[in-house]
Amino acid sequence: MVHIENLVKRYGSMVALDHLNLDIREGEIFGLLGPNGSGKTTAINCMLALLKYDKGTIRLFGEEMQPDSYDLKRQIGVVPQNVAVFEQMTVRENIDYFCSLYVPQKAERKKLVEEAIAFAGLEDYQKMLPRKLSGGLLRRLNIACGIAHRPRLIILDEPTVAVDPQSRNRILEGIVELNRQGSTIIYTSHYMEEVEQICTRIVILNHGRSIASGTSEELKQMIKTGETIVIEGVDLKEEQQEAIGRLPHVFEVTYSAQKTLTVKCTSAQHNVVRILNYLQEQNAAFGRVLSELPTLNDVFLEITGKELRD
Amino acid sequence: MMRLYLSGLLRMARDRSELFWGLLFPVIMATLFFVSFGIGMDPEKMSAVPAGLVSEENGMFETFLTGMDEGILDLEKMDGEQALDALRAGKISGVFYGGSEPSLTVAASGIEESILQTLLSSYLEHEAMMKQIAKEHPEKLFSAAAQLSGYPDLLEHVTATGRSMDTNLGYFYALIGMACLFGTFGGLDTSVEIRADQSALAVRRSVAPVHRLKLVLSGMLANFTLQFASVCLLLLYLNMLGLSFGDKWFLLLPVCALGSLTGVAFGIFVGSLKMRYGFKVGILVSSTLAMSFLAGLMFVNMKDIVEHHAPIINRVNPAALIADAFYSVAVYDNPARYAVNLALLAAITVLLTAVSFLRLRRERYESI
Amino acid sequence: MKVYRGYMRIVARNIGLLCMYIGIAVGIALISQAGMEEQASGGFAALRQPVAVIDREGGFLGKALTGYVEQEQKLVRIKDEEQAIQDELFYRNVSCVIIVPEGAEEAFREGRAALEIIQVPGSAAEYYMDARINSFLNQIRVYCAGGFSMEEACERALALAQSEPSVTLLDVNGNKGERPAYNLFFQCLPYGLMGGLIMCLSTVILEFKKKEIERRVHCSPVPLWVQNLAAIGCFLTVGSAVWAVCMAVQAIQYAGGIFTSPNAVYYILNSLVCMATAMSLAYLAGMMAKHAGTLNGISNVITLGLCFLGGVFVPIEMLNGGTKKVSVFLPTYWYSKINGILGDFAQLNSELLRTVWQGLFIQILFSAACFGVTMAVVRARVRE
Repeated sequence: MVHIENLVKRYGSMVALDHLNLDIREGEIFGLLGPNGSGKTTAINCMLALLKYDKGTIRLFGEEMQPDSYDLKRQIGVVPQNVAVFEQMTVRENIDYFCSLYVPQKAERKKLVEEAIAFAGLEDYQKMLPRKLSGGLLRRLNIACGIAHRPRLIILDEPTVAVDPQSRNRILEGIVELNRQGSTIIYTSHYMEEVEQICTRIVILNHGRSIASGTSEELKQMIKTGETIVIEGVDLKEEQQEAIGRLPHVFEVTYSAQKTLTVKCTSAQHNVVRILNYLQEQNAAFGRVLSELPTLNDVFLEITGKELRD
Repeated sequence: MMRLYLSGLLRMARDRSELFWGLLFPVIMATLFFVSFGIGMDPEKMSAVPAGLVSEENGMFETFLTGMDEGILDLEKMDGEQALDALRAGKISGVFYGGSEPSLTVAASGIEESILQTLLSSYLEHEAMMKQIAKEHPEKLFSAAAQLSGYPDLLEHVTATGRSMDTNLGYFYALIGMACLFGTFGGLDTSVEIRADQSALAVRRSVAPVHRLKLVLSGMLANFTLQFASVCLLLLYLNMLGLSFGDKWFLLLPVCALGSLTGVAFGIFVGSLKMRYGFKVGILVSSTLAMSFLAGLMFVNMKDIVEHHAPIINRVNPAALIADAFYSVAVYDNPARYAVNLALLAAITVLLTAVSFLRLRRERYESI
Repeated sequence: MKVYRGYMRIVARNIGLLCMYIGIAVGIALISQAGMEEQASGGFAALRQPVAVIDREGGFLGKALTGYVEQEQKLVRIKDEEQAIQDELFYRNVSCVIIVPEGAEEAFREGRAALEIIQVPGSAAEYYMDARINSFLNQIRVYCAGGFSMEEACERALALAQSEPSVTLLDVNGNKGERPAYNLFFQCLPYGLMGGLIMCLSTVILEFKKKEIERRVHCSPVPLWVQNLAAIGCFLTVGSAVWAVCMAVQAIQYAGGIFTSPNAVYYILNSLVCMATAMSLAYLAGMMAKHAGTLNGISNVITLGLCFLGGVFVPIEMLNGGTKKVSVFLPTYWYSKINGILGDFAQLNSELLRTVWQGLFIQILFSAACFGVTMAVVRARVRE
């Protein structure tokens, strides 16, 4: 559905997109994950023919996207990063206005607007002006304005920034529902938990380049870390730490001043048991024990050496 | 297109502070102008000019001056030194010296001094006339003297077609020109709502399947509607204050309409330029002020001076064209000049709109 | 200090914009001065205007009038067609057209308005020109009443017009009775200062009035009085810079300008006080406006209103009585009054000085009142 090949975009001497290649298939929820400044929004804006780019090709629905490709635009819904609604129009009027840009027929549009309001959970706020809405409700309005016309392709650029958890869950559920109803979704975010939760395929961007792509599971299998074990309140000497490091499947041991032991292991059974057995043999007391499976943050960290939220 | 236009109008109508000030500013300005100099101010309504009279005698000149209307001359008899001191201190505008050869001493050459000079000239001319008549036709002396008691106005002030004029009308016409140009800010907002590098709202509108020209025109027309209503309100108000627009006042409506459209188009054009929002506002503020000034807003002769030194400016300055069109209808009744002004306004509007559209359509940005 | 620095950073970031505003305002003041000078030189009565006489009767009256105009003004010959008359007026080839219609002499003898005069509205000296022409015509009428024939009356009136009254000009201001050019610039200075400063300073205030920034500043441990002081500091800095620019401009433009005047100190004081007024109005306008478009309207109303009512563009002498009753409460009125005194008199006696100080004091009072009201409004809004 969306094909990006060798895309290069520079802002002066800074390379924002560095030979980016993306392929988005119809029907998937495609996640574009990366830290701030990685090029997610730039890629989206190039895709929508808003930005000039230096090199590469972008094709949507098999055609090259231009600023006056109105037939293509009719099939796309955009939820920009910043809330883009009219301050002087009510919730209902805003949704109706933006829907009318895609659906000129009044009767059909009325039905779509009702559905969008219900979808976003804005029934009680229809007659309110945007300045009276909370951040979460504003974001929901922002989304409703972008999807009311039931587009084939929906692009959501960081839709949950500064949103309360309740609204966030609702938004994520709604996106999944939209996909279930037939829309292809491109979802950009720097919140890995959201991307992990809803995206069927993920690309991780860093410095304008795709550094990893695949499903969530595929990405996690790319890295060494299979399990991270954290033991709190444990007193260990240096030789004991080294001994733990020599245990099977253990490849990294960190011991903090707060007496917290962090052990990274490759994927295997009984990693926790082995470590606890050792501690028991050493008569070392310990507090809480936590075992975490790898996250996309771990994927990003291993590949780049930085946290996703740096 | 109608939907876009109506929703634009609705948004503007709901922005109460913009609406309020947009309608009210020209009305407030008109009131201030009216209070400042009203409609029809002439020297008879000015305050009496203070002057001193230095004379030992009580002759004709002294009688002439003391008999003057107190509304014109505030005369006080003084001795020589006292009078000059008063003149130097600014308490009086001139010192008349009586006797056989009346004269005047002044300290400046402004309006009041010119009035005193005119009084002296008037007396000396009367005196010379009476002497000649007394010498050559003494029998007619009394009937001639009777004519001196009050000069009738032998000049009828007319326009070319017989309408009277008031020099202060120029201020009001320039004000109407300025009021038309207030629409520039609405035009700027229209542009900002279309340029994707200026607002998130513009991003959303840019990715919608709507022709740019429709967005530009609908925004332009919505702004124009409000602006034109504001200018019509101003005309009604001016008419209430006593400003007459002549018999063919309806011809002024197309002028106001085109003027308002030009203002909005100019705002859209400036909005389409690549610079930050604050600077665009600055350009609009400065240019509308400059255009209104050159049309005679602060100094009514300005349009005249520009016409003498650089007439091309008056042909491209929308405020001057609007003021000129008003002159053509209300003062000169010159249909050809009126038509030329309208045509120039229309040409400017079309040019600005076309250039704006060309800049706004098919546009991709360096950064957003 | 930090708040003050914040203000100055905003000023620095908008310096191009601020220069544009100041440039336009001061430019308007300069051009207005040039226009006023052209109008004022030699007094109204001394200007010779291009005048056309259309004599449709062909009698003595028309010939006399033509002769008078040739003598006193600049006679221009034009076609006797309505379109031609309008065009000549429109293109300012003539500033007035006098028409002597058929039967003018009869109407003239009866003392009725016998001749038509069509003038260019807004042209210089029109007032006095038609008064002088009317006076000339009435002299002919008096001669006729005095027994002279129309021909003789016209000849005598023409001869009379050549005589000049004895008028002595006492040079009390060192400039032969005319206000020096820099004085006219200073007359227009309130527009330059107010117009420029209101837009500049209000633009800065609008930045700090942005909702989130205002909230952040009010939540800080910086007391309100310190914040206000910082704002005043910024205003003084910008205002002083603008004032200095104006002083430099007039010194360059008029070869020293006020610094060559014996009343230099009072010029400086008057302009500084005007600057204070402009700053107080800028503060008020900035607090009232919500965004730039509204600010423009408020600025125009305040600036133009004060300038017109206060005798800046229209001389105080030309204001009617009713208007003056309102104007005496305005700072621009007193500014113009002081400027007029400084232009008309090289030596200021005690009475004139009293008027000058009175005017300065009233302007300062106005500024203080304006500042006070605005601060009270700001305080009330913060509490809200």
